[in-house]
Amino acid sequence: MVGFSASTPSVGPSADHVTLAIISTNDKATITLTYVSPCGATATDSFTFALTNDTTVVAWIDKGPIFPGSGLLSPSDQVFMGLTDPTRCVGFLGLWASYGQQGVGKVNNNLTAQEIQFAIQYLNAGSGNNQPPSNPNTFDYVNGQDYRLYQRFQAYYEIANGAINPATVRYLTTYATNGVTPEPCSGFQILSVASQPNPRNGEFGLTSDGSLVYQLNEARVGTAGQQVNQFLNGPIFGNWVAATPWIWSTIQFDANGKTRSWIQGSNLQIFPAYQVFTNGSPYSLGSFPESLANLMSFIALNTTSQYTVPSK
Amino acid sequence: MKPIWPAAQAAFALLLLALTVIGQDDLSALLAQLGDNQFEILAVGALEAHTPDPRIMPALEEAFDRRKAKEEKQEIAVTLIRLGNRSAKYFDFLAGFARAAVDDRTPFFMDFDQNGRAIRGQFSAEFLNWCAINHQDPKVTAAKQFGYPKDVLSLARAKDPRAIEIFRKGLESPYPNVVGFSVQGLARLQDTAAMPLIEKACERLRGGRDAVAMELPWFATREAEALMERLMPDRNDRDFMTRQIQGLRLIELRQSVSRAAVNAK
Repeated sequence: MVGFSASTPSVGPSADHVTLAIISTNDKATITLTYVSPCGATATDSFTFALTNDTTVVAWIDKGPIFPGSGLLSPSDQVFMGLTDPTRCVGFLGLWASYGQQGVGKVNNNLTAQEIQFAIQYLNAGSGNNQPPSNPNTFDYVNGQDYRLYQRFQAYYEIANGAINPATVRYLTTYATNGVTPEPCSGFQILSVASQPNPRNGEFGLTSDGSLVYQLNEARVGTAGQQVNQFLNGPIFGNWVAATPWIWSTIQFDANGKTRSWIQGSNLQIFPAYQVFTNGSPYSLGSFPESLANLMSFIALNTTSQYTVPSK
Repeated sequence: MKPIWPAAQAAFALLLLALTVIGQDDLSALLAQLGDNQFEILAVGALEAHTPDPRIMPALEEAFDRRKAKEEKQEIAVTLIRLGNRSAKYFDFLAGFARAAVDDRTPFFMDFDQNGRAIRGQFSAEFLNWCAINHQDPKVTAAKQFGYPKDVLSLARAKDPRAIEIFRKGLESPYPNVVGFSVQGLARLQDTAAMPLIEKACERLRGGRDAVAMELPWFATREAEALMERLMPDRNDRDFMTRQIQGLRLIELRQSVSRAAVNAK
């Protein structure tokens, strides 16, 4: 992980300085300085430090795996016609949001199971994102908000007795933001509405047990989306604010400076798709595609599905 | 009136006391939510449904002044008006956005097929031509148009008779959903005299008449039903939309009746 820099002029009794360079990240290194006195006595001191990967995680909705197949609902079905016709779709969503606000839910929304499933798939796919670019750490991509979540994080710290020394944790990059929800009706995604960031979105630091340095990125759809979700998936007489689960990613670095493994349902929510980038490049083991099964499991959750531990 | 047994009387008094305490706690919690940075818009709806209390109106007025987001302010303004606040401040806030929507005469951005259905992802030639002549970005202009219906719907939900002229003007809009939500606004105010204007609006629209037809059940009149039959010939389609609208209409009606009953006590 470390080595002598090319700028180190010489080695030996006449050398007045040495420069060490970082060669790689996602690891720890121990630097030991030993003094040997002319009479042969020695004094040694050392410290171990970790430098993590510069890690970026993008959460995005990939419409491909969830777009409803042609057999799911007849084209003459009212929900099919209503959602696929852009002008009707606007009316439908206005109506469904009002119903959701009144606590109408899955059991009493007068829709069939197939209509509900079609609506869930169609609306999610219709508000999908483009696949993240090979380098997402550009101003245009971050500013364009064509994602559900975006975060970037890198830290360094010293390690003593196998644990992170809290006083030494420093951050090279900390950034977490939520994207927007494109409208699903027009086919242009002509307008996007704000999503709701979790109060803990952007939280970073050392976990209370001192084992991990982490950053949390967490959000969910905005007001209208939550109301429509109550109508389609919520309980009867449900509180629409409580109906919608959160999506999150948590970048976690351990006491060896390594990025903790990615697990959907743990440091990633089970939906949507996630792409992890390390030091600016897509991480080959960090691609978590979407599936219809995961979408259906996700929409059965509610607001209690949010990131909890480990945290500060 | 039959005498109540002393034990039952005490139990009833305790129950009343408990209900009062629960009610106060509930109201205090809702009012506190209004002050939260993390805005619980749900509290606004719950306050509307709550038993009348002198603290509710001032708390909502304060929340309106404090909140910055347009959507949140619109929701609070709708609630204040529905609770009977006649101040021009709240009506003007909603009406300002709705007026901008109904006044815009830029051609509608979407194209229609031969059946009058909007075509997903296709700009109309008339719209693109207008953008070219007026040096406007089609995407920016279309996004503005797409936001209009929501503003008209907010005003419609307020059920304020001062909005009738705005909704009537909305019938002349080139945007089907602006026309549709203007129809909903007029229907919520039972402006049945506007029916000929609605018919005229439907004749004038190039397409997207379904967006108007689906709002007609808000009137719940035979005349509106007849117009809906003409605009939406498929019976299943009509029945579905009628059920959808009537369900919501019934919920809102029940709420306003129970509020009126409490106010009358």
